[in-house]
Amino acid sequence: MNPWPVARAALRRGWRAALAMALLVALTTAVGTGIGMIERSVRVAAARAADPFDLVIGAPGSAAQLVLTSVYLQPDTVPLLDGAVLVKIMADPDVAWASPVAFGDSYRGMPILGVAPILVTQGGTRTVTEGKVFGAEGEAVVGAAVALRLGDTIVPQHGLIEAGEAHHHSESPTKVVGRLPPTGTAWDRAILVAVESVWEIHGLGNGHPEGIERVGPPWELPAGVPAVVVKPKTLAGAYQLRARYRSATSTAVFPGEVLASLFRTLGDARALVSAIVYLTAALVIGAVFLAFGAIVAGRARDHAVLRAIGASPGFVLGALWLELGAVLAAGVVGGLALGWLGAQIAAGPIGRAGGLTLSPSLARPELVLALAVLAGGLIAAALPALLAARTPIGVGLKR
Amino acid sequence: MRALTIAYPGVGPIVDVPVLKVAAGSTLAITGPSGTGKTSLLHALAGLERPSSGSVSWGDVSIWSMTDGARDGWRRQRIGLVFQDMHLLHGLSALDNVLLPALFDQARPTPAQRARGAKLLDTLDVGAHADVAVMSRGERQRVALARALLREPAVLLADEPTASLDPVAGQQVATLLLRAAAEQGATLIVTTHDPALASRMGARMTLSGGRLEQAG
Repeated sequence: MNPWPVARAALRRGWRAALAMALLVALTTAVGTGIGMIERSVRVAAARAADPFDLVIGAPGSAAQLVLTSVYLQPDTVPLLDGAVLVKIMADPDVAWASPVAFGDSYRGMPILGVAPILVTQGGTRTVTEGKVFGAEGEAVVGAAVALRLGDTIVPQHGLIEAGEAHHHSESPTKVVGRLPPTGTAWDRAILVAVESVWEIHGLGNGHPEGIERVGPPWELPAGVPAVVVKPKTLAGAYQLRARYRSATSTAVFPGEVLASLFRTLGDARALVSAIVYLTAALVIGAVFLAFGAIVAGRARDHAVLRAIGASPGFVLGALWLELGAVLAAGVVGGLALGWLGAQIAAGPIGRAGGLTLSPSLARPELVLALAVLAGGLIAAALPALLAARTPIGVGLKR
Repeated sequence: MRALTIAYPGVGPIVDVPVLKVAAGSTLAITGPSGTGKTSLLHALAGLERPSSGSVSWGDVSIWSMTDGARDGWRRQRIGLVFQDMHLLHGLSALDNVLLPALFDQARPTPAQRARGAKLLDTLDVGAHADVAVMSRGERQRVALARALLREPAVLLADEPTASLDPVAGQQVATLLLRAAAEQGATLIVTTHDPALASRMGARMTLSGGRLEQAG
């Protein structure tokens, strides 16, 4: 038995309706899988971005805000951690290394971050791809995505104004001396300078006693900073540090924990989006069922003739199922391709907005959705196909 | 066929035939006004529409005692059907339409079936690869005839095969039907309004008031 030629002939005859149904299925599949791919790539990129930040300490306030500003470099105003707490952290026996992160200035929309040299090298685990790590005030290391060359000079401006009038720190030109490898995070667009430079620009001294011009700890007289990134010596030490600096003068958070909490909150939204996607898919399957039912009913006489000239009910059922299966398969495959393409296109602006490099890709959830649409459509088609196959020949011939 | 009755609810019997015997290899025309039940009778003979009562036997086989599946298989092997409206599948070529019955129980037509299909179309003067959607009615009826003949059926049943054709095309189809039946030794039964077609058959019967009577 081979009902495919009959299914193929039906597709040729009714190609407009088949195309419309395939497009409907493709759009539904594309929206569902595209959203899934983007959502997952945001999670992965956000988790990857938080990975190097074991512990962040800031002034008392919102943990989420502290993480968003220091890890994801989202522009916001945060209270400053007292300089005395920074000194205490730097001297803490549980700390392997720590670095202040002072933000607030920018260059052409790219954030300028005041940090310690050890943060640039991640405690010696990372090297610059070009040049060297800054060794003095007035030097900068740029992220991989910063369109500056070694030797270029920039003038920081106050705030994060990308165009228009701004307050420039024209007395503090900074020279690019190094470039970091790409990380796929907001730090790729950042310009890293010595934290002393940031303090000096704002008239807060350089954290060192009068006459000492070095960069990096120890700081004897540091100004306040928005955040301190801490690398604990041990896991147990990390928890002790977090407990120790959750006090009236500071707050300490694990970015991964904050991220998990944010994702838990977003999880409800994700479940809602998933429900809407599956509901839409169910509606489309319902529409396919009705459309296919109408098409099948309109061909009752053709099916009766097939049965009259010798086709079994299974042959008619097979022909109808193959016909709709081909339409659904084309729609699902096209939808996966369209969803993937849409996700790649949307990844750029969505990633830029969050300072993340998104790499959406097809994975099991998308394939499950696609298979669910295919299986749901075939199951929905079973009833009209079965009715068509079981219609008595004499009845069908008279329609 | 014995004591065949075909009735519809609220209408009463439209066909009531005590007995009809058709010799193997003979030709028979069943004529009569529209709505007298000619098509229903033909459907009962072909195993397509169950009669209200009575039996239909072809040789030793009582087809309405069979299961549906067995009757489908019997019809596939033994009966060739030609309809007034041809009922070809648009989207398939003439040859693919002719070879369609071969796909009901095989994955693809055998080379012998393919050769026979092509030969039948050639004999009937129809292009094998022509699109049936653009053919004339006469050509389409010839393709439908080739489709019915593919499996060399023992019985050819044709329901108003010339009704939708012009007189010339009708005569051509009638000639082809009779020639094919003669060449294959098949029994041929046609229902028709067409006196010209009826006159060329070996026997003629008229269905009137539900009764089948010998016609002139």
